[in-house]
Amino acid sequence: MKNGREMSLDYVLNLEIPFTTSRQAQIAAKVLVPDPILKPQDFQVEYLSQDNILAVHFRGIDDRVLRVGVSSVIDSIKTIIETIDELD
Amino acid sequence: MVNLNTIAPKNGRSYYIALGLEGSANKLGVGVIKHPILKEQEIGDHSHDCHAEILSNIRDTYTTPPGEGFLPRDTARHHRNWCVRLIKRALKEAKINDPRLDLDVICFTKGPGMGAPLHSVVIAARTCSLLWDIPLVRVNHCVGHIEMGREITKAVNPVVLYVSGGNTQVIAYSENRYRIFGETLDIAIGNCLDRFARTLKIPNAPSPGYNIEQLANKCKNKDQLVELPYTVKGMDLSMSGILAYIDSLAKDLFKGNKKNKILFDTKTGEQKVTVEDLCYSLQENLFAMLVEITERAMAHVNTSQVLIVGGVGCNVRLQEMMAQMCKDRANGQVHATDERFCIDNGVMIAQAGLLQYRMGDVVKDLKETIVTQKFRTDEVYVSWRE
Amino acid sequence: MTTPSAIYKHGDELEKHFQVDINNARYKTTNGSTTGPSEHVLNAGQIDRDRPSDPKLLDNTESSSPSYTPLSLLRMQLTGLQDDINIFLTERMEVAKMKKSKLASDAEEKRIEEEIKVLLDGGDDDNSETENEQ
Repeated sequence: MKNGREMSLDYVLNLEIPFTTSRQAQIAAKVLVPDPILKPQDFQVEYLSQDNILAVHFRGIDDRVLRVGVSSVIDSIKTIIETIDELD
Repeated sequence: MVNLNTIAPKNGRSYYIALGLEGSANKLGVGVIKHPILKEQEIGDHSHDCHAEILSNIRDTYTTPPGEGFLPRDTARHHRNWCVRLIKRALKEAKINDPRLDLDVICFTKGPGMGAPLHSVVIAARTCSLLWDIPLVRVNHCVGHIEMGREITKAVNPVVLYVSGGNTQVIAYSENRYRIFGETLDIAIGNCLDRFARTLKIPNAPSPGYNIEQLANKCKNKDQLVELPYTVKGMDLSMSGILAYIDSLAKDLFKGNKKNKILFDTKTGEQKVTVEDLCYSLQENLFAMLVEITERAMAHVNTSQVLIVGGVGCNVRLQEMMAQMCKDRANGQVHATDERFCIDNGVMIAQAGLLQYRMGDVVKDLKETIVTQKFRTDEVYVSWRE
Repeated sequence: MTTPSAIYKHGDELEKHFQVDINNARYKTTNGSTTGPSEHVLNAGQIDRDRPSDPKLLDNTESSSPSYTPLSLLRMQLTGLQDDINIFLTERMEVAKMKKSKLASDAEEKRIEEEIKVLLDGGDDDNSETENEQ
């Protein structure tokens, strides 16, 4: 999988979100996974749910793509939290 | 033969209920619609007459200061921050107490439109679907307008003129597709009107061209049109040249450029044309072009009905001109809807989505729910019509 | 209940931990400091009426000392954490820019600006002029 370009994604951020149940963490991962990354050669995201934790692993070619990509994913996570909070 | 009753409503009900979410442009809309099971819908094409009942139709518009356009990122923020509140209000108004039991399907706009705002809404749609265990249906925004227009006006097989801030299309149904007969080659008509409104420094709300229409109504020289380029090209039309031309006239008018002999009398320097005259002439010219290509499409598919949908469809003068053309043809009819439905809304997404759902078209994998800026009307397979 | 957290790493040279301090006011709001309207509309006099919704109160809470649902607490904590991360990464960008600006041409700067704009607007290829649907 790892080619030369992927190796250069060495700006990394790991985010952990503790939901109240494992079901919520699973829902969040399922909601987030489908969307494609605009520039996969510059930025990669992986989602993992384990028990009640949603773990998000970001890698980018620099701080700039990390800044935009991370904040946008957190925006989506906030929507998911609000949706479950208000509509479950 | 079309049978709209093959999928039974959930929970042993005698009716279907759909939630619709729309956010492809600056309007965020959430609506709930109900279809009773109708015997006649088992045996053929009654998709224009579902006896639809609108249980709620909530909308909130992202607005910017006058004269400013809106950025996708700000529009997305508006939708993101309002979406859950609007869903709550729409469900409450529709008296949906338990969505798990009371909803059959959640419909959302897949495209076309602005990517970031569409994405804000689909995140909430996916979460609700997983939370309540209710299937999703992805809807083409334009098809939403068409199906809502058909249901409201009961037009069986009209030529559809879809005119909004982002779209200008003449559409007719043929063999399970809404086929585009003609469209703009450059900018949309609502965009053309809004950009001229910005030149005149008048606001764009509440719908594209609304304030141009108000000024045009005040025109006192309706028999003396300012000549503008007329750019129908086959079944298509072009509007960017017209916009550039009328923009330059308006600028000359504001500057008082007496050398411009269209606007000023060369001998006396007297002003011959007002802003109101320009608005009137622009409307007459653009709408005449729309009427021409619509009429040609009617001749092609041999129908006497026209349905006007989209935000510019609220324009009374456009409706009048279209009605005149239809009257001149043998007993034609124009169907239009009011601002509740011609401006983007969630109910239209629920209406089209529920028809799709009743024909068995549901999302099987969330990968199918990725939103898209470009999604042509004729890409959708229209299974609910003969 | 545990709180959201993040770790930033760049090679071996830097590791930064982001933690929530539940007593700090920045983790007790749904309205983040780095997720407001764009400069573009603020400069044009925009009044923000699109702030995030308030946190959800627990059913039997006292109005004198309101308590919120666990998910609302999580949403507020994540909002603060997002601000921390955004501020940190923006500072890092500034540092990188300073280093680079001695070398980079104006064209390069412009290209980067454009790229950021594209990323922020989700790859919408039109500009605000043509996006006035409805």
